[in-house]
Amino acid sequence: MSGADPATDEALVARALEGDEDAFVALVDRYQRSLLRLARNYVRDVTLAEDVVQDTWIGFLRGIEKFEGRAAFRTWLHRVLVNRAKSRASKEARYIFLDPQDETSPIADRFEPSGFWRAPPREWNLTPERLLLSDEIRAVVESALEALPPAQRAVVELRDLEGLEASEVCNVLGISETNQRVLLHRGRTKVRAALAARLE
Amino acid sequence: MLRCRDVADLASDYVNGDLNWSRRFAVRLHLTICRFCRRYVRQMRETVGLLRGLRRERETGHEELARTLFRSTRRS
Repeated sequence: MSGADPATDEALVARALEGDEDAFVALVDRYQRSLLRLARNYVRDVTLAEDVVQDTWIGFLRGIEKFEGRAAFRTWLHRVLVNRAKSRASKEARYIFLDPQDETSPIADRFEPSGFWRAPPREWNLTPERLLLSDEIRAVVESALEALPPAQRAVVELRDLEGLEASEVCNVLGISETNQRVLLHRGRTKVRAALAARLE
Repeated sequence: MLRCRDVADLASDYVNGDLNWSRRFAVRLHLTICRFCRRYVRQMRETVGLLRGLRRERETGHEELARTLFRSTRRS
């Protein structure tokens, strides 16, 4: 939780459902961006993705999907979004969420058959200023994320950008613990490779 | 003994602290003797740090949308 806004999700949810508009605004500010990112892994079209997010909020406000506190609110909310996105995506025949399990390791060609480095990683020119996410580095990371297959992107975004636990990500996306680890590993490995291409 | 390829495959889990004790120990052992893998794991950690850095530029500016949604569901 950020220091500026210490209200817990659950407190905001309770207030919003009792008719507190500002509490709802706070929830939307907290999750709109994350929901939109996630929706776009299912429906690439931005307008469609925005519709899906909007429907998710309306469903929450109207109690179509009821939050009963069995999971953390953010897990529940992202899961509702995924369900809505999937059903919208299949209606629109634009369902793009693929599970690339057969893909080989993104860095397989860096190793000898013996398993030792053939092309070892080189040092990065990463000064402290650059570590603080300069625009340059931010652009590299953002475009590497954008280039990932949707399943990998979804896992990396939920784990690293949104800070969800592994078990929450499995719950939200409906994938196994093993898949979650593989997708996270592959996604991060590709982002690292994109950074290496810029920083070596 | 782990090979470099194995360490690279475990780097993401290692950085998360998601490995069991024996796996973690095996990676540590390898890292003591292999500077390339040390470098790789450090870079993986930096990569995760940079991804996390994207985390909290939390947008505001959804207020109008939120209020419209809220009021539309109240009315109906």
